[in-house]
Formats: sequence, C-alpha cells, structure tokens
Amino acid sequence: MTALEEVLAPTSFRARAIDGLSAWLARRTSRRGFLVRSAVVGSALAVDTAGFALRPGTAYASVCGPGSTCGGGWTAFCATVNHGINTCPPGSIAAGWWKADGASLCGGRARYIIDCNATCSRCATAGRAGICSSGCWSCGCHCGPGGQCDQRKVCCNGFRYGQCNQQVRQVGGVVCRVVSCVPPWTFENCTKAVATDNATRDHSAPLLPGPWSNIKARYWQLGENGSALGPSVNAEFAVPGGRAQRYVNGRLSYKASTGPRFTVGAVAMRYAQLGNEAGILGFPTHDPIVIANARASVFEKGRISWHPLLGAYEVVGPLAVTYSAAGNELGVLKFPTSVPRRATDGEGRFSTFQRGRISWHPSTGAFWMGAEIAARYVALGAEGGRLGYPLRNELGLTAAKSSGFQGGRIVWVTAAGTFEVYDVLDTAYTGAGGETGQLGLPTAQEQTDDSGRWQQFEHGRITVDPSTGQATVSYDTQPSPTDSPTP
Amino acid sequence: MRLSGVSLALPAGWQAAARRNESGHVVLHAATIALPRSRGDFGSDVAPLLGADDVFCSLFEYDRASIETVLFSARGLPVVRPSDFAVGALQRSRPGQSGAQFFFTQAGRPFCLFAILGSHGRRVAGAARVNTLVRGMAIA
Repeated sequence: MTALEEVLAPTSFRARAIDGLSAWLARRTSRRGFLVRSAVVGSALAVDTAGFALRPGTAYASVCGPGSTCGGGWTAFCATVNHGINTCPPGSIAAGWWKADGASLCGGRARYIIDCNATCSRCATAGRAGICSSGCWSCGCHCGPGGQCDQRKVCCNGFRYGQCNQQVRQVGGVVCRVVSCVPPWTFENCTKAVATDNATRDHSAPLLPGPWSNIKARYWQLGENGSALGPSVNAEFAVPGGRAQRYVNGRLSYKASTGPRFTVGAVAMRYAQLGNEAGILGFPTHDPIVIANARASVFEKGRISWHPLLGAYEVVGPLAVTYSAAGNELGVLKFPTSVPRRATDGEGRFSTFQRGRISWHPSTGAFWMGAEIAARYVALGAEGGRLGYPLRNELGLTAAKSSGFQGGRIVWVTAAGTFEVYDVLDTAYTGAGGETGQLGLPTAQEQTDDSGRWQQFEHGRITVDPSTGQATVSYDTQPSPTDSPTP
Repeated sequence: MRLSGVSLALPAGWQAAARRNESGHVVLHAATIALPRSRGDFGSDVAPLLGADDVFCSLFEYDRASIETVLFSARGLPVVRPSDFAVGALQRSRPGQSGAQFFFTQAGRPFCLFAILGSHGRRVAGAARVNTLVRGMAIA
C-alpha cells in the first residue's frame, strides 16, 4: 500500500485513530464544538499522523501549519474568512502572489499563495503607487475567527506583491490569502513574475482542502480555481463508500472503483438535491459529457441530463438502462423534461423526454416510445389507461411506428395519424403479422355496429364476433407485403 | 556587485546577495545583518533577525510588460522618507518593525523596492540608511 492509499484507506491506522479521537472529543464537547474539533483532528492526523498521535495538543498546529496565531504576523486564508471558499472575498482583489517549492500539500509541486488585498474604497487615493493609507481600506484589521486554528491576521498587513491587477494604482491591506497548486495567472489577472517564499509552504487552514489526495490530484489536472468547478468550499470529507470535495460550481467524488469524478453546474445542483453520493444515483462514474451547449453526467445508478432550455433531470434505474439503450440525449428521445414520476397505480415509474417517454413497471420492465405515440398514450390515460404498460420499445417502420402494451398497441402512421388496436383485435393483428403482415397498417380506429367490433386495415379487416368474442381476419384482395421494419 | 544590468556599490556595514530567479528577473537582497541562506524574496525569513537599528531591502524585478501599467508609472529609484514607513506595511507584520514599498520603472524595467526597519521608532535613521543603499544602486 502506498502512502497515498494508506491515507485514503478507510480501515487504515489514520482512520482508526481519527475515529477514536473524534469519539473521545465527542464525549467532552458540545455537538458544534465536536464537529469543528473532529475536523481538526482528522486533518491533523492526515497531515502528521505520528506527530499528532503522540502529541494531540498540536492538532491545530498540524492543520494550520507554522505561524497560525494572530501574533505570528501572517495573513489568514480566504477560506477561513470567506465562508470556506478559497477565493478573494467581495471587496478585495488579487494583488500579488508567491510560490513555495516542494509542497506536500500540492503533491510535491510548487504551492502558490495569492494575496487578496482590500480596495481603497473609503477615500480618494493619492501618493505613491502600491498601497493606500490604512484609513482608506475597505476593511479593518482583526484576527481570524475563533473556534479554529487559522488565527492569522485579516486586513492588517499593508503589503503588495505586485504581480496582479497592476492596472489598479493602489490597494488596501491583505485581507486574506488564496492557495493553489496551479499558477495564479491561469485564473487571476496576474503576471508570471515569480516570487518565492518557502517559509509559507505548510501554512494552511481547516477549511482548505487539506492533504494531497486523489481528489486534489484530479482538481489539479482540471485547473483548480480556473476550472469549471471553481474554488473549493471547505475541506475534503468522507462520504459513505468514499470521499468528496465541494466547489463553488460543483463537486468531486471519489470511490476506489470509479476514481475521482466531477459533477458541475446545474447537474451538480440536481445531484445535491438527490443526496449526492448517498442518494439514489450513487457515485459518478464518468466526468461530465458535453453535448453542444448541454451537459450530462453518468452515475452508478442513473444519469442527470441538463439542457439550457429545459433544466436538469435525472433518469434512474431501469429507466436509465432503457434511455441508454435508446441513445441517451443523442438518441430518439433527446433530453428528459421531468424527473422520474410515480405512475397512477403507485407501482410503476415513468420519465418524459423531449421526444418521448419511458414507462416502467416491475412486472414488465422499462420500454420507450417516441413523441407521437407517447402523446396518444398520455391522451389515453398512459399507464393508468386501458393500454397499461408498454411491453416493448417502439418499433420503427418505413411509414409507421408502433408500440405494444399490455392492453393492445398504438400505431402511428405517417400522414394518417395514430390508431390503437386493443385486446382481441390486437391479438388477431399480431397473429396476422402485425404492421409487417398481410393486413398492413390500421387505417381507422376500432368501430362498433350491429355486427360487432371491427377495425379496418390497409388490406383487410378484423372483426370480433359479439356472441363468441372471437376475432376473424379477412383480406380485401390477394394480400401483398406492404411494409417492413427499418434496420 | 553586478547582475543582469543591476549594480550595487555596497555601503559599509551592509551585506548583499543577488540572483536571477526562474523568471530571469533580478532579486537583490541587502541588509545590515548577515543574510541567512533562506530569506524569502521579500525577506520574511530575515525580518525576525533584525535588531532595532537594522535594515533589510529587497529589489525585486517584474515582467517587462508591466511597465505599461499604472502600478509602475513612477520613474526612477525612489528617495525614501521616514514618513513612507508604516508599522503594518509588511508581508508578515512583527511588533516594532515597519516597512515601505515602492513600485517604479528604471531603464525600461519594472521593480519594487521593499525596505524593512528593525524599529519603526528609529525610522529617521533607518530611512537614511536605505537611501544610502539606494544611492549605490544602478539599473541599466
């Protein structure tokens, strides 16, 4: 087992130590205090297991690194003062950056720290370029918030590294610091002029993502703050079966069998509404799929598709299997237009799409039908109507489409309309070869008169004897094949 | 001392070190104490070592394209005044210390001169020492 695997393994010494120490803390603190402290303990153990196990009093130092007190003179991290978000807070701008080489928090790569300086909003600025007088700053000097270890200064240090937003003549003091494992010029208005300060290599905070991990590595590959995910929100955390990390615009989920996969935008929002990894969809199994200006994400138990004009909807379980077989968003059904719904009988489920519908019942399975047949099916009561649930996917013919149901079939004939064929008529039609048989396609709805029920087809008729209930097929002339299935 | 068009006639009582960083830019450090091996480009590792009468200076060069920006609109090496120093004007603030920062362009090259005084209370003398150092600098 590699060191990284050991960090991530749920039954590792670290995991056991975290569990034990967190439980010990829980017995001695309030719930709120416990949550904060257990997060600190977990991060401390992940960073420095042996050190913290032997010296638990150093948990804060292990997480936040050196110089984490207000008196230490350094500036706090933006995640600490900006709702856990690793970006410049409102009222501040990136004003410069430096790197620390060989940072374990970045997998041994350079770690970049970006200063977010206050604006000079409280008075007109003048004098030499760089920093305005402290009375003009958009914030006041104070220490990091209590209850956590990043107690470093906030809006105190009037210093400008100078590589960022050089079009701004003067800025205020440093409000907070953003960290990144990718260069800042990839996501902020900064130049590439390198400054180095290795003393800050291990500076961190409880609400920053924490030790290098599979998730951090994937985020790095994606471009971190400059990626579609945007800045991180709070620290990486454990979820049932794996780990996860929140970002402003999405989420990265990690499970050994899936690897680190991300969800983003409206899809991520819908995923969150459904409970994320612990919800009905499970873990994502792929990164987002781009379909023109739309997106989709695939999960262990389904799929979420987002279209800018429709929104984000999930397709789950057997419905998702059928949707996939039908080609997903690029198939005949196009994008979903609703979340899966319960059928009127309370047993089945269905999903609607731009160009059709999938209906599922545990006794029949899930089958799709295209828009024309679906419209007629809905008009007839859908799953709760006389036709019941579909028994097969829609069949495409040269001049028609057909779907079979428990109570009959619907045939959509090009330029003629939609016709149903019910129960014994349908049974007889099937016996006569259906749409590709000698009768051809239906040309009218079922009729009833003194002679009983009957339905007209291109080359004949099916009649039901009212006294026996038996259906009889009769042909107009010598039959000839009229249609054949499309490949 | 001379490096990449930056020269320094070191005053008595000063030590200096200069290098070209990964960007190919000059980073020049000078102090009235022995410079430690690890310093940080703006002296975060030097500041804790400064006595009350000591001074540290960093001359840090930026990308050439930056000369077009307002931040580097000042021309020529600065003349430092005691009033330029402020207690909080430090990357890492330390009790009693103060700093001053000057962005400027000289010979078509953008720089920042950053100075740390070991004691803000002795800024008059400290500013004079910085000016002595700066007068020995030349940028071509």
